[in-house]
Formats: sequence, C-alpha cells, structure tokens
Amino acid sequence: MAEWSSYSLHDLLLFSLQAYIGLFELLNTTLWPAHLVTLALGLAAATLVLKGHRARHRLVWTLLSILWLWTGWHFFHVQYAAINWAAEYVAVVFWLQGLLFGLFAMVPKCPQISYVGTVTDRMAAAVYLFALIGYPIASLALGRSSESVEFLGISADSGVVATLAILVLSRARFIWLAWVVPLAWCALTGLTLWLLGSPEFFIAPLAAVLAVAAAASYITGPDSLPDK
Amino acid sequence: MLINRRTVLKGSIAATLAGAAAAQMPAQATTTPLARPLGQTGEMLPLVGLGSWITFNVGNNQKLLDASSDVMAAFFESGGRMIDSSPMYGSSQATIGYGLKKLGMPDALFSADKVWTSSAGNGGPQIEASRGNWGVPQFDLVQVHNLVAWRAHLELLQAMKAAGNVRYIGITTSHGRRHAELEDIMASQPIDFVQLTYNVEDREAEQRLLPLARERGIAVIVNRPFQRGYLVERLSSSPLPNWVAETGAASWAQFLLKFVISHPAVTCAIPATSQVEHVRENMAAASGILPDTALRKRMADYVGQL
Repeated sequence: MAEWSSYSLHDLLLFSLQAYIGLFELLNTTLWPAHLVTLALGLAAATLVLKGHRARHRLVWTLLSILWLWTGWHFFHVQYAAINWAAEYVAVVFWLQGLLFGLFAMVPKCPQISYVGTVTDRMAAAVYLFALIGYPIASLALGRSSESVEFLGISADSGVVATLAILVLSRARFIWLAWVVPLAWCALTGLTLWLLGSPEFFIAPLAAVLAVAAAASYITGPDSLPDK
Repeated sequence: MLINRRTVLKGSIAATLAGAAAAQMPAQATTTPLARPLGQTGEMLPLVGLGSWITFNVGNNQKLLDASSDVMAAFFESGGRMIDSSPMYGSSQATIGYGLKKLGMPDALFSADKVWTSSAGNGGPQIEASRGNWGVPQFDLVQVHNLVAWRAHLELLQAMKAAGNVRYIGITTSHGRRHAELEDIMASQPIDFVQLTYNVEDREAEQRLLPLARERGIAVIVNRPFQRGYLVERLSSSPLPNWVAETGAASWAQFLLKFVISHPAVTCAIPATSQVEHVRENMAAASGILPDTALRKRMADYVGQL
C-alpha cells in the first residue's frame, strides 16, 4: 500500500494524448459510415420518446443495451485495450451495464421513459442533443481535428452522456443503479483527458453534473413519479 | 582549461571504444556513440539507449506506428543499440516489433524486455509472448519489472540464461521505490543488470546502489533521466549555462543526459521519445566530453538553484 502512494496519477497513464487522439482517428476511419447509422438510431430514439410512442420504453432500453454492449466490445476490447490494458476491465463493466439495460427492456414492469416538457425534461433533451451533435462540435471548437472527433456509438463518451439524458427521463427511483457506471465513466474520462493535458477534459463531467442536477429535481421535486 | 578537469571518463571510454565496440556498432551507424562495457563481459553498450514507455504505445494507428519506426531508424543510424520495453507498456512491444521488421532487424539491436506478472507460473509464457511481439529469436536481456514476484522470476531467468535462452538477466525499479530491497538483491543474487531511476534531481541511487553496482560488476540502466520530460520542460525556461558548451551539450536534454551517463557506474540511459529530432539529440549526448566529478557537482548545484 505504501508503494502505491508513491505513484502520481500521471504515472498511471500508459499513453500520450497523441496516441489517444490517434485512437479516434482510427475508429472514425475504420467505422465510417457507421456514424450515420448511430446518428439515425439516436434520432429515432429521441423521436420515439418525444412522440410518446407506446413501444418507446422497451425500444429505447434495447437500443441502450446494444449501444453499451457494442461500445464495450469494439471501443474498449478491440481498440482502446491496444494502448491501455485496463480497458479490458472497463469493457466488462460496459457489458454488465448493457445487460442491465437489456434487463430493463425485458422485465414486465419496464422502467418508463417519458418526456412531458418540464424544465427538467428540457434539460435532459438538451443533454441528449449535445451528446448527439454538440459533442463533436465542442471537440472541434477545442482544437480536435475533424478526423478525430468523437461520435455517438463510435466511441464511449457521447454515448454515455446520451444514456444519462435517458436516465433523467426514466424517473423511476430504483433506477439509480443504472447511474453508477455512466457517472463513473464521465469522471474517469474527464480525469484521463485532464492528465493528458486536453482542453476537453470538462465536457463529460459537466454533462454528468447537468444530468444529475436535472434528475435531482425529479427525485426531490413535484415532478417525482412513482415506479411503474 | 576546463577540458583538463574532465578527461578521465572520456579517456577510459575512448580506450574501450577503440577495441571491441567498433566491431559491434551497426553497419549503418553514421556516428559512434560513447560506450561502456557490460560488467565483466567486455561487450560494449552505447551510453544512450531508447525507452518505450508511453511513446511507443500507439496501438494500431498506422501513422504513429510508422512514426515510431522512424524514431527507431534514427536511433540505429546514430549508433544506438539498446531498446527497452515491458509487457506493462501497452502496445509498445508490438510497435518495436513492427519497427524492427520494417528496418530489417538491425544487427546492432540489444533487446531488453521485462517480466511483469505477480504469478510465478505466468512468467515463462509472458516472456515468450513478449518475444513474439518483438519478433526476435531471443532477448539479450530480460529483467524482473519493479521487483514483482522477483524470487520466482529470477529463478526462471537464471534457468533461461543457463539454457542459453537469454544472454543477460536483471531487475528493475523506478521512481526511487524499494531501494533497500533492491540493494539486498544486488548484493545476493547473480544478476547482470539493474535498472533504476537516476537524474540530476533524483540522486538517491548515488548513495548505495551505484557504488554497489560498480563493486559487483552489475551494469546499470537508468530510466526517467528527464523525469518523463518534466525536467526538460521545467528547465527550458532557464538559460543553459555556457560552461557546459565544451562538453558538447547544446540543449537541456543533452545537459541532463550527460549528467546521468557521466556517472561511472551508469552503463546506459534510456530516454523515450516519439520524435526523430529528439532521438538524434539524445544520441548526440553520448559524444564529445563527459563531465567529471567537479563539473557534475556544478551541474547539480546549478539545477538545484533554478
């Protein structure tokens, strides 16, 4: 234990910012035009929720399940693990989260996802829209090259932020369990980027803070709904 | 006048260079760096090698893989030999393997890797996997990384050496950790190499480990000569003293490297870099004049005042 205390956080980084950014260049090159598919699926999920479609609950949880299973496999296990052996463990965590969302989609009392236009709902919608479109734009504005910006479903961060927005709209109190991993990832990715010296370090943590603030009003305020 | 104060190291190194080293330098080398013998073997090793921590961990990115092989090409062209890696360093081993294959497996290569697993039984398979990543028939040197499960792994490495499957064996630490235990190992185990952190600010090794290495004929590899670049970054805002110019040091990186490699117990420093110009700059530090004791003290005092 005494030895671990002699390590600084920087000592735990195995790769450079150049290699990390290179990871996304590689992802964007190899997966294009899958970006259009993930964007279309993201917009479809938003439309289902906004329109109040009856099947939205199970469909959105299913999409989230696929998103997390896919991200765990391709981003963490196949790509990120090449420069960070710890990514193999994160992959397992993402798979477990994907299975949890799969469970949500299958259980008889499927957690509800509703947009009723409250201020909190609008905050969640803004966070979701940011995950879908704003994330790559913000990265570009902060100096990332167009070849290396991150897209929903291609890498992890924007998908995790989109998940948080959906969790805000799910309202069910017992769903707190599903928040743990997305929030932890937002903290971890922010810390990683900060240690690497990237100006983008605040994006995911800030989105997480907004999502938590929005959710808190559901839990403590008049918008709170019973579990269904 | 100052030249006369620091000729001892240069003289001894030049003398050894004149013999065995000349034949062992890579054919494509455009320069011949200063070198020291490995323990009692007489084999010469240039004073500057190439580390791979972080810089060669580039994954499957083709552009960065090619950039890394360019660094390796410049390293060999400058007369470099030792490349050091570890299974802990992500894809660094595979990057080295890519570069070596692209460069036609340079004869000058001195391959140094590590075993890094807490499981005694996994040591052998891990070394074999590492060898496969490099694409070499066998390693010149295998070290126990950060003293992890060192008793079991040293036993394995001794058996490998006896069987002719590795030429040298050693043990490593970094950041000044577990020096007392390392000292015990150096005093009691038949190792050829020790790797430790030593630089103008981290000088604890001067007290016991470096003298013990000389006494026991153990070759010393120095990691973190720049404190992972922080020393160069911090010092870059201060003027390089003009009194080091006569040693050939033209930059802070060369100042720092010359300080490290001028310690008579040091065999090789292994700065890591991802840039061709930096590897050339680093290799050039192993030329010209090495500071003597008085100048080394002046260098340390100067940095201490900044």
